[in-house]
Amino acid sequence: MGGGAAGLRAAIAAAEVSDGLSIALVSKVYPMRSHTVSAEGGAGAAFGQDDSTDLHAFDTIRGSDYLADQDAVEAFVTEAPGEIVQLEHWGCPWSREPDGRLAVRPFGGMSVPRTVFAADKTGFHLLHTLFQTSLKYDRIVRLDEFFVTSLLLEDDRCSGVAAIDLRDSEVRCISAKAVILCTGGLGRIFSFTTNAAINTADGMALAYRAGVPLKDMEFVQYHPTGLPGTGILMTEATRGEGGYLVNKEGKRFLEEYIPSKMELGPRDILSRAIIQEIEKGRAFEGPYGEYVHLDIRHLGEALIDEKLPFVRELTTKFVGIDPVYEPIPVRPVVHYMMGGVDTDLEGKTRLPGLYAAGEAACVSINGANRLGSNSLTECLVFGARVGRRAAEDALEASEPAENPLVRLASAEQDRLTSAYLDNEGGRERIAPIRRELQATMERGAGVYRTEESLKEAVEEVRALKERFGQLALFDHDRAFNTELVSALELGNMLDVAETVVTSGLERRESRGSHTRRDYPDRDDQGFLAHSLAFSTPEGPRIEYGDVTITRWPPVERKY
Amino acid sequence: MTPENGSRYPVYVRKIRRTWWLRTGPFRRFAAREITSMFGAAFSAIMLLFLFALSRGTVAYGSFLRWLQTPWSIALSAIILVAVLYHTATWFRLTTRILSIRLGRRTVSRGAIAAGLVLAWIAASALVAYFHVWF
Amino acid sequence: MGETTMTLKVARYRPEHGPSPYFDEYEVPYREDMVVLDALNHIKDNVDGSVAYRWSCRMGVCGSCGMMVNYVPRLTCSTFLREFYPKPVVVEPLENFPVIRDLVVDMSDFLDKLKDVKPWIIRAHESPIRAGEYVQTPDEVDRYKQFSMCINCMLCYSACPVYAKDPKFIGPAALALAHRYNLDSRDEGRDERLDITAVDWGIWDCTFVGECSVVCPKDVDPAAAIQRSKVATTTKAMMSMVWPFGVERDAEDRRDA
Repeated sequence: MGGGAAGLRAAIAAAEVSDGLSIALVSKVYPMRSHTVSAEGGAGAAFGQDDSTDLHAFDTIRGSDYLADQDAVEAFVTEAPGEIVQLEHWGCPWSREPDGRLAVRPFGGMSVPRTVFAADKTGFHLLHTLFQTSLKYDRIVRLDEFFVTSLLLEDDRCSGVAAIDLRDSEVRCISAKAVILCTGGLGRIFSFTTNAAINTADGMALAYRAGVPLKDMEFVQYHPTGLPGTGILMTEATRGEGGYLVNKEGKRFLEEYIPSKMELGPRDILSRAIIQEIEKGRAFEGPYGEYVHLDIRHLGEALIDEKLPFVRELTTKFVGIDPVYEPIPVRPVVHYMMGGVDTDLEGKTRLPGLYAAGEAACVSINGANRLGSNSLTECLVFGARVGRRAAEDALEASEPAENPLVRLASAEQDRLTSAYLDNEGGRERIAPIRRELQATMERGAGVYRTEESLKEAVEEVRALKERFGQLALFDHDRAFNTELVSALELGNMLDVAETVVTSGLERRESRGSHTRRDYPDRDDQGFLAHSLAFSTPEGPRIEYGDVTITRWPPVERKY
Repeated sequence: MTPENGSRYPVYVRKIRRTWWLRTGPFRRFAAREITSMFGAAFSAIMLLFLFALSRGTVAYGSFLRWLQTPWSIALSAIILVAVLYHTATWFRLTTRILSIRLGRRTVSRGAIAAGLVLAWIAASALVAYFHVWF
Repeated sequence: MGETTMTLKVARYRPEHGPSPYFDEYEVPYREDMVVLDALNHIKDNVDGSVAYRWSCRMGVCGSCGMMVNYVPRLTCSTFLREFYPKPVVVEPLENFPVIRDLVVDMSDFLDKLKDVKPWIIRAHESPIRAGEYVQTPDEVDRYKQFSMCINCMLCYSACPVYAKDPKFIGPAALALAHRYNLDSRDEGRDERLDITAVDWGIWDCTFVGECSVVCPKDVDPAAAIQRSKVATTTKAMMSMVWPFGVERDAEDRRDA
């Protein structure tokens, strides 16, 4: 499920395990529309002479504020270079050094430059390379514009999915020996996000409802530099190539917060710094809130056109600013979800037959804060791992029994028809509930959180879920009913939003991107643990699980 | 590899009109470009008639030359000249889009290619004029 | 103070309600920084939830939101209302594709054709991963880079009168992507791809109208790609007549063909 970097990589990996396997790539949009396409900066891997996998691992673990599972990180950094080369072999147009070898650029939180890139459209090139390569395999069957509404469970095993074909809104029963969730993140539960419209936590919600816990959901990454208003991402590469962050007084204010790294500090620290500048009144004011300046003028037109052309295109088109001559307005924006479906190192969840990888999963290699350029690599490494694991398991597994699954799918069809398609009653509409959810999350689960803000958010989300039960649609057609999809997405967003705020409430410490004004310090005694949110009728129940520590004992996170 | 469209809801197919090429500026200019090629063909036909007349001897050749000097024929030639010039100009423009000449990491600019084509045309015309004057 | 508004005429097609398309008119609030997509979202959220259309990234890179805006194929996320204000804006589904519903068209034809042109690296021998990356200089990347920028938005197919008349035509985007791989120094499938594209319904169907390149939001210039493929195929055919024994081609030969 999901046709982005992780999903496509998994499909290709599974296809390469055996040609006796049939692999369905089920996506609610055509794969090349997946949000991977918007990623800009690059993919990190330890290649160079001055680099080592141990250093990459250390950077990642320190960046995660020591919440990452170190065995997972070790596997990740070891396989990362190979995956980058594999993509290159498949045709990805990585930017090159003059001698023809892969070029790398510096990135936030990385000790040495190790981020491989394709100008500043890395995600676009990566996705299209993967998609076009996947066309080689006839055994990858694409089900484009199919929306999965529930997992089909039989005998405590996940044996398939029920999905509606958007062309006619009819539920199809897709039975499978292995189901892999690669559905991406949940940015759209917030009002101000870099994420596309399609990032609505679908896979996370499906796993959650099926009894799989969502891990570390309180860790929402705020990317320091998004355009005010639209939330369009201004890649970290602008800072990697040497850009400055400047406040109203023209000062590079990061001097006060993280002088050793300045603009190349990790994202959580930078986002907090910008919010503090805003609170101190040292930020500019604008129609879409306060902002600071991202200044890349000193890099020169030649470098910008060579390495940051997409940034120039975006700012010119959407805010009428040419970054060669003017600084760019930016503010912290919701970007990535460190948490997700709880999986092991090979993407297996605790529900047999169900797997997950990519942003939808939480292995965890990102812990409490992700370093820039680790996510694209994560999708490749864990996409490949889960594809291989699921394929091996599928070769051993027995055929799922048809009848029970068909009955479940048929029940799902009845549910959808009565709740949405034929439902003429109901007082609520989608847009107001969605807007209020987004506003609640911005208020309650922002960069800085408090007991009150989170408690209020928990209650408001619960109230919104009640209202959601009274939903009515304008559109009762069956042919390409996008309002039905929006309603289903909203249901997913509400369920998962509840885990975000509840986990946030229970974690009474500050770590990585989860910052509590009332608990400003990190508390390894109490909270060096992963939060696990289990679904119950009364809301999420939070338990805690161990963090795997191998060679890097947690110390104070200093830069 | 798309699954069979089992959807029972009919899609709507829009038909293209016969006069599609009149509907927008760019399409009209495209049609003009294509139609003016026929004038180039007409010119070639006249050249063939020339050769044919030449082969039939002095009398036939003389009467052909006289025909070429009639007002109708001059008017026709003028129209053909304008059409062929237009056609050539459009093809010079198109050639600048097709030709990609690389010099290291740079590509020869479209203006340079156009200039080169115009110079080549002038040179060819000068050569023809030379032979015409000399003989 | 009254809010500034403008009119959107949106094409509708609801097969369950009638066999023909029709128009609905809506008043939407107008702000200088609004795009057509913002207007559609306003309608869907607040006025008429039944309008169906595709969109995702809202930053001009996913290719979902292509529609006809005042009869020209545009990406609605990147088309500002201020271009038209205060005149009404007509929004219709992309030309030359069958309409499934409202502003949603059937693009399965393109995906089939994309697969047909084999848009992947074809090599006789894959070098092992542990040997590292294939060497490709920045110059070699530049040769195909422009043609790799295609976001599959289909605006070029909408602008192409050949595709309008002949649905069998492989089309600008697919042919540009075929050319992109032909120019990639790591690829060895050029001959195979030229055989597939140098057919009557492929590059030879193109009459270089050039509108595809005009509407392309990413400056891919598919028209140039197709004409250069014509040059490449013709050169290859003439070479094989002169030297029928096959030619050892190295990276230098890939120049622009």
